[in-house]
Amino acid sequence: MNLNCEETYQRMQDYLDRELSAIEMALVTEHLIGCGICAEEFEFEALVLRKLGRTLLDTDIPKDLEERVLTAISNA
Amino acid sequence: MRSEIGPTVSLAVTDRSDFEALLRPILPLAFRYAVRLTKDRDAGTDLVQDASVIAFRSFHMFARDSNFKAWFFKILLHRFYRTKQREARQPSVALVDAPESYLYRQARRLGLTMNGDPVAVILGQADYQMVSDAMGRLPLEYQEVAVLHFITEMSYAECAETLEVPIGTVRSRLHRARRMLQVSLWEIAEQRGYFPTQESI
Repeated sequence: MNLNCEETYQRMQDYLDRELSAIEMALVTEHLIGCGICAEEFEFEALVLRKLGRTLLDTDIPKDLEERVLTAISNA
Repeated sequence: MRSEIGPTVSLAVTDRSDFEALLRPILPLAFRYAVRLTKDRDAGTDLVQDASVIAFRSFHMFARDSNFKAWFFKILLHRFYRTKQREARQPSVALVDAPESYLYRQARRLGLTMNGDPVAVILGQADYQMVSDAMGRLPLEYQEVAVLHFITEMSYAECAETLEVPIGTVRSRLHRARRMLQVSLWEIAEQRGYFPTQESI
């Protein structure tokens, strides 16, 4: 079984999240190897998601967070 | 700030050691998630602290072979909603059914070359505040799952366990949240003049 572009496109998010079955992951990968247009779109989307994830993680953690939490637990 | 969250119970020292060993590695993630929920660093810190105390007091009910991260984040969410009612008025939302990979399509429309880093051209100036603002335009149930997945990198199954919704709901909300988020980012970029015009490309 081979996937066409539309079938591949419909699986993009699940593929990028590695939430497809092993068989489906392989089918999408196979399509991307042979289809530069889909590969470009997938790569772009992956970059966007990585950028958003990194940006949301860009929050300084308070130096005393762990100490505060552990103190609260010990007082509980 | 200490908060009042119920009666004291005692747990064995070994339980406390076990609990702390499980909690420590996820505190940074919990803090980032809490800040996103509360939109305030101090409130986020208080939320993590309160959730930690509640989780510690409930630790005897935690099944040791289950997922501590999902269990703890569930408690954190419950604590958040207990202290803060869901806002009756939802934020303004681009509930349009945008296509997948909206930014990619905009990049193509603008004729951006895919060599180099076209994402940097479009999102190069997207800082925490801009992404945060874009996220804030989404309905809360979409923010919940999107931020949880972005920050903790939980699987769909873990997100479903944490949010107490079916996996299919996580999948559809997450996918839709990403589409809406990309539309929101584009709109904010336009409003702030970040829009990469044809001349600037």
